[in-house]
Amino acid sequence: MKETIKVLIVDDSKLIRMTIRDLLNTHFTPQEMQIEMAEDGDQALALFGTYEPNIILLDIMMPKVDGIEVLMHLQERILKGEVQTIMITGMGDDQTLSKCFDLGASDFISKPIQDVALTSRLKGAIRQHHLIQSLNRLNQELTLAKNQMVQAEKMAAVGQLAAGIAHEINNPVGYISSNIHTLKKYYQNWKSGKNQHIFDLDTDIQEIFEDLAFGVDRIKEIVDSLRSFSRIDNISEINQFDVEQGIRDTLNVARHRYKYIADVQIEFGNVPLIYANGGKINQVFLNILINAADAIKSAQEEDGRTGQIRIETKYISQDETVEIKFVDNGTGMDEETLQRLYNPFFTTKPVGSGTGLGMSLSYDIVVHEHKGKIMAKSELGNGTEFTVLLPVGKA
Amino acid sequence: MSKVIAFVDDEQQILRALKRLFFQTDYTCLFFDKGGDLIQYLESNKIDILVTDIRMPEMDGIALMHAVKRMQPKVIRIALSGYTDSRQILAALDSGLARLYIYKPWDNDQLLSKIEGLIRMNDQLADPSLLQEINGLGSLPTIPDLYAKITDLIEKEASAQEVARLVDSDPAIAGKLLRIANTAYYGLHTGSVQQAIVMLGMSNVRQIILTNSVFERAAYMPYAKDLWQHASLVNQGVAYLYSLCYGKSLPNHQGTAGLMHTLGLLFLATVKTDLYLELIEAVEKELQHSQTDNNQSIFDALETEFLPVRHPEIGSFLLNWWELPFDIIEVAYHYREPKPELIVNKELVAMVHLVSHVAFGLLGLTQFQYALDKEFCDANGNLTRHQLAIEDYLASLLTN
Repeated sequence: MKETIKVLIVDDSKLIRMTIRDLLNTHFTPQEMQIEMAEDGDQALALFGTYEPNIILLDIMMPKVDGIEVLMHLQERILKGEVQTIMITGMGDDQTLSKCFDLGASDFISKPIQDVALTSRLKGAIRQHHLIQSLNRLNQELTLAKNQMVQAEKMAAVGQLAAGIAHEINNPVGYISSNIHTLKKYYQNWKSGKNQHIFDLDTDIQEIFEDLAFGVDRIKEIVDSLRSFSRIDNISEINQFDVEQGIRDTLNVARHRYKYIADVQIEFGNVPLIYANGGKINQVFLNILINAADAIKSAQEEDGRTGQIRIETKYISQDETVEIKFVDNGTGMDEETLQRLYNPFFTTKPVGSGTGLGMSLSYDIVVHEHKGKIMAKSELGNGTEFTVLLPVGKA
Repeated sequence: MSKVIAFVDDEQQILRALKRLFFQTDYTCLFFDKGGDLIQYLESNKIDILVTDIRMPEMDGIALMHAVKRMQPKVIRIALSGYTDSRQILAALDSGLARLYIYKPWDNDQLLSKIEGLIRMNDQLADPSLLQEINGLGSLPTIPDLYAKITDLIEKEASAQEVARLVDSDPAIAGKLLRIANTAYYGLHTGSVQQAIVMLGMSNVRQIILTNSVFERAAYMPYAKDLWQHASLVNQGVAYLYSLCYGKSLPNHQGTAGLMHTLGLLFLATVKTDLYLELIEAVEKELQHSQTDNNQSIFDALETEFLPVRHPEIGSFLLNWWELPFDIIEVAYHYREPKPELIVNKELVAMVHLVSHVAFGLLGLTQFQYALDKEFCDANGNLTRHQLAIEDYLASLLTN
């Protein structure tokens, strides 16, 4: 209890004010409690700029600005838990008292003010205050931790992709550099008049140029997708977002993850742009896609089935929602797994394989941040269908 | 008859680039964009070398190498891949499925020289007369039963725990692993086989198991303890030198280069103990007479007189027969008198050459000493400037 509790007594009767103050002073030291007073609602509200009370003892009946009005002004603070109000009531105040509670008053004390009643209510309010403070602090820490987790998950996802992307780029770089070296040799031989090849040099050189161009295009495509996919880095970047382009970018960036595992079929319904944080939505797509590929891979290890992933988009006009479906023919999930799907750190993959946060964060992004829906249907052994619904307009 | 190389990659551009590169060589080159096509071809044809990508649709490089190993085990299998983080590939190397692993993007000249070097070494060691000579000396060491089981586990990317359980069934090997893991290089102080395995890495564990029978049999031979100490020192010294020169730690697959490089000597000690002792006696006598510096490698000169085949050839033959990584074989073959034009991984050979020389000197094993090729050391890593540091480091290891 190191912090000094700030109390404000608002009552138009000087006697009541003094009585309360004196009673409180017998139980609480100045270090424990600071007490200020106000004659009426007006004065009380004027004080708020300079003196932010934690607990207000508030008379209901006051001339000009009464207790109810003060409460109305305090709504925001009350909702945030920054201030608690104890109403001071006289006889016959019942209906108004009820209204005070509707407006968020915490407690009440009846006149004539009695020592024990006052003190115990204050102590109760102080306990409450401390609890609320702890809660607020925890909340802050949680939000911080959550943001860190989102970053970590993104880094993990990027890390997983990086190896695949490195390979995708390595191949074209491989034959580009080799061909340049070969071209140099051809040139040197030509310069020195050495006899070159048995096969047609002209055709070969033409082919080299084709291969070089092809390779450069591949690299460009990968880099473009990477840029497009991760246009985030600004976590709160909400803009007009093309869902179908996002899916294409995600497919490009993750190609290495599914290329040898499944065929991907897309059926786009030319859906409208939505108002969303594109980078985060792409993250959700990436997550579902990778899970689908992994599920198919597991299934293939058992029965060697041909992997198939189908992605469909549709606009549902009556809800002004865009629907995206991901269907895979992988191992599927049982009831138990489906239930725990969005639990943080829940994973069916071996240790070291991802953070286990992907679906939990995806849920968070779709449902909480974008006010959409994400649903999973699955049949163990046959496959899974994920449906993501995102509103077109602002959340 | 020129050697036949089969290249397998699912990207046509890669195959074309390789075709252009190898056109200037004498090899007969075949190109396949599907593993399955090569398998079909092998049903009625032979190849000598396989160069394959790992990540391919339908049949990946690992499955392909397994199939080729089954169908034509003598084929040299080389992996060419860009998927650098793949545990699969490391497991393939660790289990001896691939002899060499080349990264994409490759350097044209390096690729050629690596493959040529591998073929050359393999040819030398596959020479039937060499096998005859070695067989003539004594029967080849047995491979522990454990080995096949461990290779299997390694390929399946088993955990250290599972491998440890298996190793525990053979106390001799478990002891060996612990001893090596507890040396200064690995810095471990443990009685836990599992920890030792984690520290050493699967590749080294496999090699140690493979070669253990040689070390075991030689254990009671004269000088065996000294040679073992020497090998252990060199192993640690090479790792130290590598980090001095290149600022990073020795790649895992080269981790036992020092330990293995004198394997031939130990083999000789066990199968031809009399000759071996006679040879050493003769060297000691020579040394007393000449009183000069170790400028003449007396041991090498006399070895040729006493034996039909010398210990570097024997050692590298064994290591090749067990399909250990190519780098280690080269070291065992060339560590005494390195001929740069014949060596692919000159840097590693130079390091072992230097450290082994220093270690023989430090341990007073003048009988086994050879002349240091300063030129070679400096040309491949500028090594002689580290000589004093190595001497100090090895000396410190001895006092501990």
